This record gives sequence, C-alpha cells and structure tokens, in this order.
Amino acid sequence: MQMLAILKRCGVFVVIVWLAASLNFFLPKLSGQDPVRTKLLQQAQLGGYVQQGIDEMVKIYEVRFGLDRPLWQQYLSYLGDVVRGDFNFSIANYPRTVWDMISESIPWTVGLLGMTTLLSFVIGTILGALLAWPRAPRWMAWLMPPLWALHAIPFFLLGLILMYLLAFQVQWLPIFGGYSMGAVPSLSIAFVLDIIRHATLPALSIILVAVGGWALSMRGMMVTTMGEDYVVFAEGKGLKSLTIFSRYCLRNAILPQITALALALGQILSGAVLVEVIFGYPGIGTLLFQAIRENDHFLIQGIVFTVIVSLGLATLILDLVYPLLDPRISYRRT
Amino acid sequence: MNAILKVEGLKVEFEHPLGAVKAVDDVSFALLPGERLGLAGESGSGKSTMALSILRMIKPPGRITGGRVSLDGIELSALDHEGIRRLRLAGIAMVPQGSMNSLNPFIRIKAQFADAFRDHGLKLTSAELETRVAELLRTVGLPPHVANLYPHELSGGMKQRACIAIAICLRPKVIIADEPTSALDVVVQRQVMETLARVQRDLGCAIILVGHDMGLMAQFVDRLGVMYAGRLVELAPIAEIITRPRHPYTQALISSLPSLEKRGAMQGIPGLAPLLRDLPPGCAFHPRCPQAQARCHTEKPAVREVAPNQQAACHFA
Repeated sequence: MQMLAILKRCGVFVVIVWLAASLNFFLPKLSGQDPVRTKLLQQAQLGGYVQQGIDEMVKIYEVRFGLDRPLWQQYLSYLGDVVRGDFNFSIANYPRTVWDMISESIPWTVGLLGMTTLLSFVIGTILGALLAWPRAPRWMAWLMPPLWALHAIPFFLLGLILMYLLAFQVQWLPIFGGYSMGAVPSLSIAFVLDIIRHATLPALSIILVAVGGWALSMRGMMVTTMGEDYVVFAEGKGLKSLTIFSRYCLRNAILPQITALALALGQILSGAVLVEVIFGYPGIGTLLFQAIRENDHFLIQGIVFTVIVSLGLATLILDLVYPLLDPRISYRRT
Repeated sequence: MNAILKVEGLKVEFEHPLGAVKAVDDVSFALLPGERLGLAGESGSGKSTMALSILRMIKPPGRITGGRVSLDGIELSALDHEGIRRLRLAGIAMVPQGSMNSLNPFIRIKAQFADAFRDHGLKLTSAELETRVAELLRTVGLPPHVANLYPHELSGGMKQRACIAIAICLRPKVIIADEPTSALDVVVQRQVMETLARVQRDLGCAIILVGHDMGLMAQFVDRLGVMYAGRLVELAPIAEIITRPRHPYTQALISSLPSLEKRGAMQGIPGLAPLLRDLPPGCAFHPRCPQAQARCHTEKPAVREVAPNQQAACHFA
C-alpha cells in the first residue's frame, strides 16, 4: 500500500517532467526567431563585410542540428535526447555540448546558493524561534527591526550597496567573479580560500535578506504553537523549559519552514540569475542570462529543463519525507 | 485531619488598559487528603484561573498578587522556578480540559510519558519505560499498544484517559482536573469520570474538579465550592449544598437545575455575570439577587461560617 503510493508520487514526477520538457520544446519555437540565422548574421556583421551564401550555411547548419526535419520528428528525437540526458550542442558555443556547460556551472550555483539558503534557513529559524520565546535574552528583541528592514530590501539592491561599500570603498573583498583572474582551478587551500573570498559578497547579500524572512515566518509559527493546549499541558507536566522549547514548540512549528526550505532549495537554480549576473558569478544564472542574450535555444532548454527537474525533485522528496516528519500525514490518505 | 493543600487569600489579577481585572479575589480553602473538591461557577467566574494559579501557571498579563498556597506544609511561593517545575506533576498534577488537544500530535504517547519521567529525574531503561507505561495505561483502561500510537489515532475519550495516565504517573498528592469531560458525550464522560474516580481512590490523592456541570459534581465530589466573580461565595459538603444552599447565588443555581419532582418552566438566573473589571460595589451579586437589601449595595460580605462545615459570603446566609 505504501509502496504503491510512493510509486504513484514518482509517476506524477515523471509526468511533470515530461510536460515541462514538452513546453520547453514548443515555447521557443513560437518565438519565430531562427537562432542559426541570427548567429550567422551576427558573425557576418562582426566580420565587417556582407558574406555571400548565408542561406546555404543556414541550410547546412539546420541539417547539422536537425532543424530541417518536421516538428514532430524533432520533438520525438528531443524526448529521446532528454531521456538519455543529452541536450545537444550549444548553438552559441559550438562545439561545446549543453550538458557540458551546465554541469560546469552547476557546482558554482549549488555551492553559493545552496550554502546561503541552508545557512539563512538555520540562522533565521533559530532566531525566529528565540524571538518568540519569552525566556530568550532581552537583547534579542533589538534584532527584529533591522531584520525586518533588511528583509524588505531586494537582495540585488543590497548586493550593489555591499559591493560599493566592501569591494569598492574599503576593498576588502573582490568585486567580481568566482575566483581570481589567472588562478588555476585546483583543490589547493589557496584556491578554496580564493573561492570563499569571492563568494562572501554575494552570499552576504543573500543571507542578510533571507534571514529576516525565515525569522519572521518562524516567529509567527512559534507564537501560534506556543498557544497550543499541549504546550500548556507540557508545562503542567513540569517539563524543563528546554524540553518544551525543543520538543513541544520548535519541533512542531518548524514544519512549514521545512516545506519552504525544500521549495527554496528547488528554486536555487532559477533564483540565481540576478545575484550571479550582478557579481559575475560563473554559475547557472549567468549561463542562462548569456544563453537568452545569444538566443541559444538548446542551452536555454537545457537550463530550464534542469531547473524544472530540480524543482520537481525537491517537491518529490518533500512529499516522501513529510509523513516521516508529521505523523498525521500518511502516504495512504492522499 | 491536616489539609494536604491549603489556599489562603489567593489573588490573581490581569492587567488591562482600563484597570486591573481581579480574576481571583481572596479565595481560601483547605483540601483534605483523599478529598474530592468541586469548584463550580459560570464562565468567567475565575475557576480555571484559580486552578492554574495553584500550579503557578498564570501567564502575563495575569499575575498572582497575593495569598499563600501550601502543599503538605511546603509554601509554594517560597519555591524558585525549578522547585515549582519539579512540584508540578510530582506533587500537583493537572488533567487538562477534555475538549482540547492536550497531547503533542507529533510524538507517540509513550514519548509523552518518557519526557515527564526524564525531566523529573527518573532514568528508565526502555524496557522499564515500556512496562511502566503499559501499567499506567492499564490503570486507566487502555490497552498497552496505545503507547506506540500518535494522539490523532485515539478517540476523544481515549486521549483524555491517556492524559489521566500521564497525570498520575508520578503519584501526585493532588490532581487538578479542569473540566476533564467537556466536549465528550455523556457515555464517554461517565467512563472518564469513573476512571478518574478509580485512580484517585487507588492513589489516595485529593482532587479538585473544576466545572459547571452540577449533575456531575453531585455524583463525584465530597464538597463543592461555588465561585462568583472571582470569589468563593459558598463552600459546603455536596449534600448540604444541594439540599440547603445558603448563598442566594447557589440557591438560584440549584433551583435552575431540572429535577424529577419539578414541573413547569425552568427558571434561570436573571441578568448576566458582571464584568470583572467593573464590579458593582458591595456584594458583586446584588444586582441579580432577589434578596438584596440596602446593605448589599455598599458592604462587601466576608466569607463566614454559616453552619458547621459550611461557609458562605452573604450578609443574610
């Protein structure tokens, strides 16, 4: 019975991915732009003179990329490619494959945004829980207004301000990139430190904004939970403050936070665009930004597809984990 | 016999922008070992607040502003936070309201016992815990497998019995049951009350039953206290209260009960309970009292002995 429910969830996941993949295939076709022609014309202009035989070249490239075939054939072979994990070649960066480029930038994004999301979740949730707890230290109350204020600022704006202050004015931190120009990527301590130095500024701008949000929602949930009858009874049972705080309040108030965390983790690949572009971070956001500017259909499709799969996976995992966290929710009933 | 629990001049106030609200005003009584005391009164009369204040569980803006509570000779106000904590459950246990979700929905029944044992300094192995919980559950008439269930898997009556089992797990001297059967149907209500009566007898502890169901009180308690507007206006053995109530409020309360002999339209008490922050001067009951005299408008009646074992707060009782 449970097995069946789990299989059903996985089936739903596959359907979602298929639907997304199909949309992903048809939507760019509707834009009416011909990526090959655009690219060739761009290069022709760069060359400084009008080249002859552009039409012939377009034909050759279209055959090369399989764009000359009927739409349904393209669709079927696209689905086949997707199943094999093959997203074709990048149009703008031929002969590099889309998957190559994506897998190169994913670690940067997951590293930066995954870390910042987890960090702000942990800090924000603990802060929020303590803000609601009557026996928490008094000074904690002073944290609330700045957290609110920071939460109201868009993180890219805060990023620009921090960049101006920390990278431009006092020059403590590098202004741009994932690592220093000319540094050779390796697993040495120096290179890792270099990465951390470069990640600090974007990370700071995300965490400062996000912590407030996590704290606010956690505080709200804590206040609601603390009014529950079982918390009153727990106190009547003479339990220690710490037990009541952790096992009767925090444990119960954190569930919506975990839902939000799973969704936030699923969204890191798509949420990365702004912050990565501002800080010139070599992650998937920057890659998507470039792909859109260069009309690189295959690359866009590859990235969007990766984003959808990661979101779907996050939801799937959440679905499967939730019954373990909340005994009232079971696999069977839904 | 020496009282097990002594409450003297207990006062609880709630801060309010329009002035302090006296939810419990100068309440005194003594609870004998093994005794069943009922506390009745309409909503807002301060009976639940008093129950909570005995356990020192009043939350701001509420505050205990006066009085002494002693359990078996130990003055509770002299204890620090930790002392009070250890006294709860081990000395005075509470049975929560029956209508409430008083069990943590996220942890198994067994774990809710384990938390209590651990925080009261009892180190049990999991096998010992298992047998103790099974034994306690058996006492309240629940099968042992309930220990491994979550609260939402139990019915209302089972939940309430589980709460009773938790309440008696450290063999308290006093149990305070605040409307333990509210929102349960009469059949389950009877089962829960029988369970409560049985464990109370077996344990030999005293019990304070808070509620407004006079029928239930008549069946269960030895003595009944009647509260009105934060004051204990009458306290007497249950038989006396039912047959010869002294305070006009108690009289009105008793005469509003249906009985087999009485025929015709039922009589209620005219008027509404007064606002606690805006009490009438003199006796708080005088606007609704059929026997009110000029004296009642100005002079607050003190609690006095009106018959052996029977006290009332009325000038004319």
